[in-house]
Order: sequence, then structure tokens, then C-alpha cells
Amino acid sequence: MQGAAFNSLLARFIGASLLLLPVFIFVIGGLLVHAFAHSQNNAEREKLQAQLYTILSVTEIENQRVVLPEALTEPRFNNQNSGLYSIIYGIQGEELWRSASASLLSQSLFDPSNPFFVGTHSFSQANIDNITLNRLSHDIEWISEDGTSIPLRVIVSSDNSPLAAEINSYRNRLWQWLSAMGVLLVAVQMAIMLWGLQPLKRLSIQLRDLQQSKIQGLDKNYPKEIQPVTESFNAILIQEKQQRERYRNTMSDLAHSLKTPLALIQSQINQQQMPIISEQLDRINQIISHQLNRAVIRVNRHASLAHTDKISVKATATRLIKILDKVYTEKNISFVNEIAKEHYFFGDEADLLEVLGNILDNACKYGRGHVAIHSTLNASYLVISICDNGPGIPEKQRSIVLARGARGDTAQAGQGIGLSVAVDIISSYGGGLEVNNNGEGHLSGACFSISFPVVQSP
Amino acid sequence: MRLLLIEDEPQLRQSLQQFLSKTDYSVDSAGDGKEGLYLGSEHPYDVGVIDIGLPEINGIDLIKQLRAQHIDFPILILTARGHWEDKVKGLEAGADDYLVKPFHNEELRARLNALTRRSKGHASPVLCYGSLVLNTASKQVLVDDAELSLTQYEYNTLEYLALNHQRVISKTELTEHLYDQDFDLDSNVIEVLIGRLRKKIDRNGLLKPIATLRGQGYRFALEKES
Repeated sequence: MQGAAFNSLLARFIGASLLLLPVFIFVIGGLLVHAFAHSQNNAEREKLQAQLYTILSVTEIENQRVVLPEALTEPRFNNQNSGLYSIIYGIQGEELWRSASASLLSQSLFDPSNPFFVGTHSFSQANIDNITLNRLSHDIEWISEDGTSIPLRVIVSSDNSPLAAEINSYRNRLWQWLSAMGVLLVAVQMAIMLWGLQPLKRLSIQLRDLQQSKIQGLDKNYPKEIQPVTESFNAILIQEKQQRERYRNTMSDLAHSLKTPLALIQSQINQQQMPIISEQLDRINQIISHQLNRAVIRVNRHASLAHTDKISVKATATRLIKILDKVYTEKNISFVNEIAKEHYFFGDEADLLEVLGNILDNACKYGRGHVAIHSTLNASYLVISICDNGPGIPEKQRSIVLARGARGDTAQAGQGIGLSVAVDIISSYGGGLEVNNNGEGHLSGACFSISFPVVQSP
Repeated sequence: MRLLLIEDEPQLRQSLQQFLSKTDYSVDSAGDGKEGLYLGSEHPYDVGVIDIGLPEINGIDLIKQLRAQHIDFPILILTARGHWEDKVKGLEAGADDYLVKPFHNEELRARLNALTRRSKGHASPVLCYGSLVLNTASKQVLVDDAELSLTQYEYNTLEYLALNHQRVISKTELTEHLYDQDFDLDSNVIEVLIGRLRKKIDRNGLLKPIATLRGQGYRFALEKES
């Protein structure tokens, strides 16, 4: 059951019961019909036996001849073809007496293959004149008044068709009921299974919500069969988060402990007097920043259920604009924040701050007092565009600016690592960064378009 | 100008203190957040340089606490990680600018100058008062286009008076902002300094840049040209 159709628990259960249920119903039905027919036959045999005793009770032997009254108490013996017959045979199969009802039967009811034993009953069916008859034969030895014994085989026979019709109608009704029961059973079973699988469905919804950061962990009230799974999952989630936090802290400690000595060296040298040392220090600094940033990004990328918050892009942009306005007070920058309120970023807020911060900072630095940020959302991407009215970026340099994961030590002097950090973060979310020059309007400078996939690929 | 420097790495703190003292600032320094908070709450500073990663009280909480006390001198934060998250937190806490470690001393000085100037409400680094021109970026003073030769204390005194030109500045305030903590307040150094400044700037006695208000202090008397 590896096929795609059976890649669902419900399909497996339903498939199995659709296969098994008919077999089950068929066997049960067969057994019931058989048992019913058996009991009907027994009842018929008992009835015939009673009839046989009434025949025997009125049988007389006179002068070696079997004599019975003209009219028997059971009226069916007296009417032709009534469906109840009686014939008395001698030991050789010679007919000694026949009831009025049997007068039209053309064939003998005597079964020569049945050996003669006094006192035995034998019940069987025979096909006489194209009618199926139930036949009870009883072998007796009649002791006449003169002491001679006369062996007799008394046969009472009844038409089987009413019995067959009853069994048939029973069978039909049984099959109808069983089929209805079967359908009902499948339906009930399906309902039970849907109910039973409900926790799994809830689990999958919760996992999706978790990924979209609508919730922070799985509920505790799962059935006890699933609870070990959800509990371990929650534990792993917490553990993973702590581990990432620890890793981040380690990285930031490392940054701190590497950069403080660098800052000390930098503060000791004079930029003008020792340009080479100063430049090399800048490079070392860039490499450290770049590699540490990448290490943190890498560990985040590997966390498939990474802590993804639902971050309002507008709120984040507003925060950054507020502080950049403070930092670039002198440039008196006019910001236009046209991010749509309903556009959200699913990920780590620190990452969004880093990406938008670096690009907005560049726009402030290189623009001439105008920075605009807006967003569009299509089926697959959230696109955030940041444009300024600076000189723009020459075509040739754009690839350098955007070289994915450009190595820190190849960064251009003065370019900083901000953009390459932004590119690293964006690609860790499966997104992209595009840079264009805006030809027209008052924002004729560089235009950076950041695109994040709407559905985060894990 | 009086500057508060809070940096936990002793050597870096010492080096920065040396550099900043050499330029225009009288520097008080602290090695942890607790001491820094005490200094910042007790003394009137013109600008602060605060590292984010501090022992006892971290830089961001320290700034929040200072701002909560309505202490509003401009603050520049130093961050080692250089993450925007840190910068945003620092600036939202009440800092005014940031520098990522390591940085060039000149960069730090330029940022501090801009911060102090802005905090006194001057948009441009060049302050023009008729024939007297103060360039706070290059620390030059021109009178009738001729550069004056001033000592560091003389320049700092003049700049402080000029930046706070609408106010009367007491001798105590001048001392507090121009000299280190342990300066003897009883000395008449300030009077001597003002006298020397007047002589250097106003040889002919026509400009009268600094007015003395008896029992109150001094006021920069020239009107700024926009």
C-alpha cells in the first residue's frame, strides 16, 4: 500500500474495510441462509413425520392387502395434487397403496438405493414429474393377526416449492438488510475514523500555524497516543531555540572580543600617518563582521521550523525611519513610507531590521534628501522597494554590489559590508535583491527591490 | 565641553579619553554602567559616549534611565556587533547617534562635534557673528578673515559661550563644562581666561563679544547671522 492513493490513513482504512466488509457480509449471509434452510427442512421433516404417523394409525392389513379409509383426516391427502402425498410400497418397490392426492403422480417415490431396515426413517428429496418433493420414508414390519410379518415402506412426501419460496424470500430479505447494514457500517466507520483522526488533523493545522508563527508551541491536550510526539516536539522546539540563542550569543561575544582590541588599535593610530595599517584594520574588521554574520545566518537557515514571527513591515520601516531621521538630522531627509499595513514578513525581526536598515542607511547616505519605501504583494513574492534621489549605481558596479555572498575581503573600499549582509539574509529566506536606477521623477537615484517569497520554503 | 565616556575595556577607555581630552573635551570616564549612571545623573555633561555592552547596567538600560530622569545631553553609542537591532534599540532608548567598533578617532570626533552643536540648536558647523566666525568643525576662529591663535581652553570657553549664546553662563557652569571633575572651583582661572579671550578677539574694544553680568556670569553678546 505504497501508492499515492493510499498515502492517506483515511484512504487506507476505507480501502481495507471496502475490501473486507463484502467478504464478511457474504460469509455471514451464506451461513445464515444455510442455517435457516436447515431448520426449515427439519421442521418439514417433523411435519412429514407427524403425517406419517397419522397414515400408520389408520393403516390396516386385510387379506394381505393394505387398507386405509377412503377419506383421511388430513384433507390434503384426499385432494389431487394437493402437494402432500403418501404411497405405501412393499419390500420390492411394488405399490400397495396410494393416497388420492398422489393418483396423478406418474413416477414411483420408491428409492431402491435406500436399503430396507425396519424402524428407520430416511428423509431425502426427489425430483418427480419436474417437481421437487420432500420425501420421508419409514420402513416397518407389519405383524398381521395371523402372525405373518409384512414388510412395508411408508412414504410421505410434500411439495418443496412453498418451502423453497420461503427460503428464497428469506434470502432476499437477508441480503437487502445485510447490504444496508454494510453501507451503514462503512459510513459509521468513516465517521468514527474522521473523529479518530481529528487530533492528527489538528496537529497538522497547528504545525502550519507554528510555521507561520501564529502559535509558539503545540497544545498539551492531545490524546495520550499522540502526546509523547507533541511533547517531544515542543521540547525540541524549545531546545532548538535555546541552542540558536546560545549560538548567537557566542557569535556576538566573539564579535565583541575581536572588535574591542581592533577598536583599541584603531584608536591608537593616526589615519593620516599610517594609512596602510588603518586600511588593513578596516579589512580585518570587515572580514570578521562578514563571516560572523554569515555564520549566524547559516545556523538560522538550517532551522526548518526557525522561529518565524509575523512582522509588520510597515512598523519595522517606521522604526528605522524614525532613528535614521535622528542620525541624519543634518541632511533633513524627507521619508515617504508607503508600505501597505497588511504586508507582513515571516521570519526573524532582527533579520528584517538588518536588511531594511542597511539599505535605508545607504539611501540616506547617498541620496540627496529624498527616500521612499513602498511594498507590493503578488501571488508568490512580497516586494519592498527602497528608492533615493542620489546619483544611483552605475551598471558595472551593480553586480559587485549584489554579488551573492560576496567575500568580505573582496569588498570595495568604502562600500561597507552592509549590502552583502543584506544579500546573505535575503537569500537565506529564498528571496532576492535587485537594483535599478530610477530614470525619472524626483526619485531618480538607486532603487533597491527586495523580494521575499510569500510562502516560506522550509 | 564636558564629555561622559563609559567603556568597559580599560585600554580602549584610556586611549579614547586621551584622544578626546587632546581635542576639545574635558572627559569623565566610567568602566561600568553603574558608575556611568551615577556620573551621568550627578554632573551636567554636554555629550556622552556609551558602549552598549557594559557590565552592571547595559548601555541601553543606562540610556533609558538617564532619559527617564530628563537628562538629555546627546549620546553616541558604540556597538561591537554593528547589528541594526542593537542600533535601533540604542537609538529608541534615547541615544542620538551610533558608531560601530572599530572606528576612526576622527570619525568619532566629527560625530561628537555635530551632536554637541545640534544639541545647542545650531544647524551648521560654521557660526557667523559679523566679523567673528567660529568653525566648530575645524576648531578655527576668524576675526575679519584672519585666524586667531587660541589655546585649547580659550577656544573651548569661546565655543561653549557661543553655542549657548542665548543664556547667561555662570562661572560654575563654565568650570563644570570645561574642566575635569577635580578642578578647584575657587580659582580665578575663568576670569583670567575670559580676559585673555576678550583681548585676543576684540583688540580695538569695538566688538564686545562677551558681556559680564555682575554676580551671575557671562553671556555671549553677539547676534548670529543666519
